[in-house]
Amino acid sequence: MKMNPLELITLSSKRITPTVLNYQIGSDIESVLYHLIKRLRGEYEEFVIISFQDAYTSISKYLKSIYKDAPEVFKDTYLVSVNPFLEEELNPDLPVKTKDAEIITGRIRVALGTKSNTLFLVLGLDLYGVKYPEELVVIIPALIRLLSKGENNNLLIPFNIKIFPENIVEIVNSFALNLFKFGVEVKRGEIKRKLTIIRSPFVEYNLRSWYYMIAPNKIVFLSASMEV
Amino acid sequence: MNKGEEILVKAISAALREVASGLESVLEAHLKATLNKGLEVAYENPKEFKDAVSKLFGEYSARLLEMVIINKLKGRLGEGEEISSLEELVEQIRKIYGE
Repeated sequence: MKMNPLELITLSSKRITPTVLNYQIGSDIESVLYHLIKRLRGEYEEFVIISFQDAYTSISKYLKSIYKDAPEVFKDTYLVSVNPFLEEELNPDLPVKTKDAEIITGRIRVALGTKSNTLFLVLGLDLYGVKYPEELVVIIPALIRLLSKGENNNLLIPFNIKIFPENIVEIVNSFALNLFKFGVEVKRGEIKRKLTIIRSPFVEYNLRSWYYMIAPNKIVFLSASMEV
Repeated sequence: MNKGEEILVKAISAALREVASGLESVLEAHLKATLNKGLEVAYENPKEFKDAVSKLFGEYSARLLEMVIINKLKGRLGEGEEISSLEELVEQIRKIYGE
């Protein structure tokens, strides 16, 4: 069976969780998230976004400028906004203003309880980690345990691993059951985006790579010798 | 280039090398082509710089880069300064260096 890489990520995330999307700057992770959420949204009863440091505002602003149906794809979302500034305008369902990792996870636990059949998208954990690096080692395991608890949940975490020291990389790698790398290469002054499947339940695809381009309504993946 | 501008440009270069090695020249070429300026535009007009970075790398990556730049200069800004944006950072640098 030959699978489109986006389909592979979608199916992997449904089968095991959490899924970490290790992205680099310039990889257009926003578009990847848009296409993933569009595919997954209808398969879950609820959609919860946990946004740190206004990350959801950044992403939605960008996606709305590119995709006409972005508001539809992200509508009726339960929004947890950690340390909002700009995001207060969106009236988050749960605003949390503290840097303390234990208080943040505690507030989320109380507000959400144990959810099942829910799609979770955690945004801006890296933004929070840049600002409060000492809290990151606490919040990553705590949040993943909390959100993975219920039945049939799907947890997606875009995270820029490159900017953090080895101990953080190890924590993220040890918790990520699916791990996909969205990187960039610069050739003759041009950015080439590249996806590598690091870890997934589809072992025959692991360590395979594709270059990809963002087209108006899809992502075009190109392997070394063929289009998939 | 004045002192504040120099400090900011160095911080941006260091942040780019750290989080997006290879992309510094791409960003500089983009700024040159769209604004006919270099990294110093971040000091002259932080919003214009952020918009240009967003157009090239996406809003989320731009926000991450902004946080890393702020983090690079955290030690120079004094205790208790809560900086959340490039605009606030530039304002703070101007205050410190009296520019």
